[in-house]
Amino acid sequence: MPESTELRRLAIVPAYNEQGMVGRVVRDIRRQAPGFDVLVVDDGSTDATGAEAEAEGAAVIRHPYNLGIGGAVQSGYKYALRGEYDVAVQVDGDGQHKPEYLPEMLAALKTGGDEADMVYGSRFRGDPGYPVPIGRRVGNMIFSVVLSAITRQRITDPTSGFRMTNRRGIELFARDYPHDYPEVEALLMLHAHHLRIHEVHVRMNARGFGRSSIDYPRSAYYMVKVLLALFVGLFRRRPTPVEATGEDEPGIGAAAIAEGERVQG
Amino acid sequence: MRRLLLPLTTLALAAPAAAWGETLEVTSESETGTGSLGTTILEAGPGDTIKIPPGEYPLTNGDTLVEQGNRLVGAGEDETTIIPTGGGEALDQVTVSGVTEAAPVNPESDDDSGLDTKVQIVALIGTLALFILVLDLVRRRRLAERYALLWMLASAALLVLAIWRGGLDAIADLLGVAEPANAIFILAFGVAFLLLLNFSVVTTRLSEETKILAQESARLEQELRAARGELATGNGASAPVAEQGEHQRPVSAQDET
Ligand SMILES: Nc1nc2c(ncn2[C@@H]2O[C@H](COP(=O)(O)OP(=O)(O)O)[C@@H](O)[C@H]2O)c(=O)[nH]1
Ligand SMILES: [Mg+2]
Repeated sequence: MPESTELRRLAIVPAYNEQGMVGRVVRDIRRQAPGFDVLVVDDGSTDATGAEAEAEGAAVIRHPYNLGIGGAVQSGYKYALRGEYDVAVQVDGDGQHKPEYLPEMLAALKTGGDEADMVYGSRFRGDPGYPVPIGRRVGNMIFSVVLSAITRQRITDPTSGFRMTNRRGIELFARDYPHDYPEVEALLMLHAHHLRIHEVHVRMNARGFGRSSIDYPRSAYYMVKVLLALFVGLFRRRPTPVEATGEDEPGIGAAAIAEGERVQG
Repeated sequence: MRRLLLPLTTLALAAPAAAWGETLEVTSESETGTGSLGTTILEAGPGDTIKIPPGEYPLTNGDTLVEQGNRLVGAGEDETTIIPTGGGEALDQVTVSGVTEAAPVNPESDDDSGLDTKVQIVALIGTLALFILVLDLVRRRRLAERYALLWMLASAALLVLAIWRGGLDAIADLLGVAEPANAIFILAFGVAFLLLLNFSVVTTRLSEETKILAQESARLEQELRAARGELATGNGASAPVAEQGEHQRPVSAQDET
């Protein structure tokens, strides 16, 4: 793969108390998608999540306290921006996302060609791969309808966090990323900045253990909140849209450049 | 039918012509509300006569009575009693017959409206204490000046309203509230609401700033660890080799192979 090896690729693994699982996720990514550097964002875990990830050879960012999934993912994008990565993909630390899909997603991403700016894995384009809880299904359907209407394209799994984006997406998300339950709103952001979204079908695993951030009693609350966020998001003031030629944007910061030089030197 | 028609025609006539000399009748002994003495006075026009059946009637506000030159006609000295609750001077300035005037309920108060003196004293002490508390918090640097200003303005406003009754009455009038005491509650509620909203805004900004700080400190810590790892392998700034350091630094895929 001569062309794609030139791309700097990062897998961002948000992990909050995923000891016993995160190590496996890191190992799987390194085995099944060796072109990706792995960054685990330990979001203030109280267990050995960070150490376990490090032992598997991942770079680890440790938040001093729990920032929530939005803050965790954004930390990853900031790291990707500073490290001048061309491609960043989110892979959940709970083992739900299968790294075997990474090559397929990368193939659909615009990194020189003319495909999408963000490619994400949808479990609802076909067989989800595991029995999806009913609350998740219902919520997903509602968001799917709303988002499909807004973006005028079929979005079947707006709550999926299995997302790969190019430089433009990295810049956008490093600058501004929604807070709680960010997946749905992040799609809206991409749309607002005219970044193209592409869906591929993936199967996911059931959550190994622990609790999803989107579970029963909270799913109703989640839905209302995200719908509100969507509504507000339509009117929200956004940072300046990322330029279409977002390849070598000025203002990345001297540190990032210095860092790049250091790696080459 | 006639009972209904009569007041209707009276109203119709009274409104445009301000007819002189209508007779209205009080129907309730309570202090406020339909049929009470106070409400009947407000409904009466200049020169109207107000008939008061047997019973005891509190009278809070007598100014209107004087302005309109109304006549009060009771059912007899033994039957009808008026209890002034706001001084009672008004009764001396209009024609009153067939009415016993009871001793004013609130003799100290020479103002016929506003808060009770007792309430006023409590309000005064309360707001003064609040004001001093705010000052003290600022003095001990427990409260930043920009919030102190907000609170001091709020407590100063309350203090002024507690002392100056006319102001409170004016505000009550403006808000269309009958009781000046309620005006204070509405005002206080509004101010408290705005303060809370302001704090939500401040909290949002604080948590956003704290998030950025946490992310930055985590990044620095990661870079420090990575740099230490490189030093430990004696490899300086060159591409990482050791197992531990391999993925700590953004490594291009080429370097990795
Ligand atoms: N629940 C939760 N997950 C977090 C947090 N920070 C990072 N994560 C990680 O985010 C990923 C997705 O979380 P999850 O609750 O499974 O979301 P879901 O898969 O969309 O239901 C997991 O890898 C978590 O470890 C946090 O504050 N809360
Ligand atoms: Mg999950």
